[in-house]
Amino acid sequence: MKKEKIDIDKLEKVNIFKVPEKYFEDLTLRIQTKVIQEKASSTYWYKTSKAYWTLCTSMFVLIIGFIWRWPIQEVKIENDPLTQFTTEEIIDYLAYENVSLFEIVDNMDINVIISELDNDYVDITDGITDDELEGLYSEYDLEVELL
Amino acid sequence: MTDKDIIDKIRNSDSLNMGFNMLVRKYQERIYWHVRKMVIDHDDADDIVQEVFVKVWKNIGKFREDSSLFTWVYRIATNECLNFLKKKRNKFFLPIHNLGEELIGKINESSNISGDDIQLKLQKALVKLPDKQRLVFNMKYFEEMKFEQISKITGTTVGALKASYHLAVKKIEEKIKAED
Repeated sequence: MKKEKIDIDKLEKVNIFKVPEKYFEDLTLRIQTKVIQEKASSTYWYKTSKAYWTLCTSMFVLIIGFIWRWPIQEVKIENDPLTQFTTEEIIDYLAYENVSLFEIVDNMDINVIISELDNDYVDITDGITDDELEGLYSEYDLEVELL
Repeated sequence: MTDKDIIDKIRNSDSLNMGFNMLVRKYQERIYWHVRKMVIDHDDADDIVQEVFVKVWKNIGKFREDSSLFTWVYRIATNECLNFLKKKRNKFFLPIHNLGEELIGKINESSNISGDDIQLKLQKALVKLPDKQRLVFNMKYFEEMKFEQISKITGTTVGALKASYHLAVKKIEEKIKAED
């Protein structure tokens, strides 16, 4: 038997799907509840993320501050024990301990010595005339050519 | 209540909630049926409809009235449906998994589906079509929308939609005939 051709335009358009009773009456409320929940969760996320970023920024600032301050603190710590004593007390202590100048220099950082020399260099010939210098040289029997 | 009234209420922060409530009441049923015909299962449709309106709420500030409110809401619903079906396919990871067969199973088993023999055959033939073709068919055949309107929702040309619809009709008629 030959099958009849189906024309769907001639079929009655029936909605075969059903929904539970009063479904659409409740749907509006459920949608609004879900929207409120979403709003609350997004606000919570915003708040927690705000707290998170505040904490991160604070930590970053602290770390940067610590790094920036570190070399200065280091110098201060190095200097601290010595700044408690006068130069005379240090010299007396070194003499008492019988520490020679050679040992002190030998234990110092060459860069520190150079920087100290640059900062504290005093020209001992300042205020002395050439004649006075010549007199000193001849008195101590020195043969130095004056510049 | 016109779309313009709803938009005016939504644009005003004092009446935003009322405007959104009106929008939901106006479109929830149409959106539900649009979604239900695509995903078949009531619980899936229920979840998707809620998700659609949450997205509408979240993005209502971005609605620029380039299209009508109806088109904009329908577009969100359509995208949600297509994404849902795509995820459902990908979830099984198996190329042999046939979503059409799963949907036919739901048509056979669900207590929320009833119809005469030919209507059930039509639905079973329909779920075997590609998602986008089925979407176009539903909007044209059941929702009786104009191709121009479908074009605005799907972003597809009218010509392509007409071709897709006629091909879908042909396939469905052949499948129903083959089952007889």
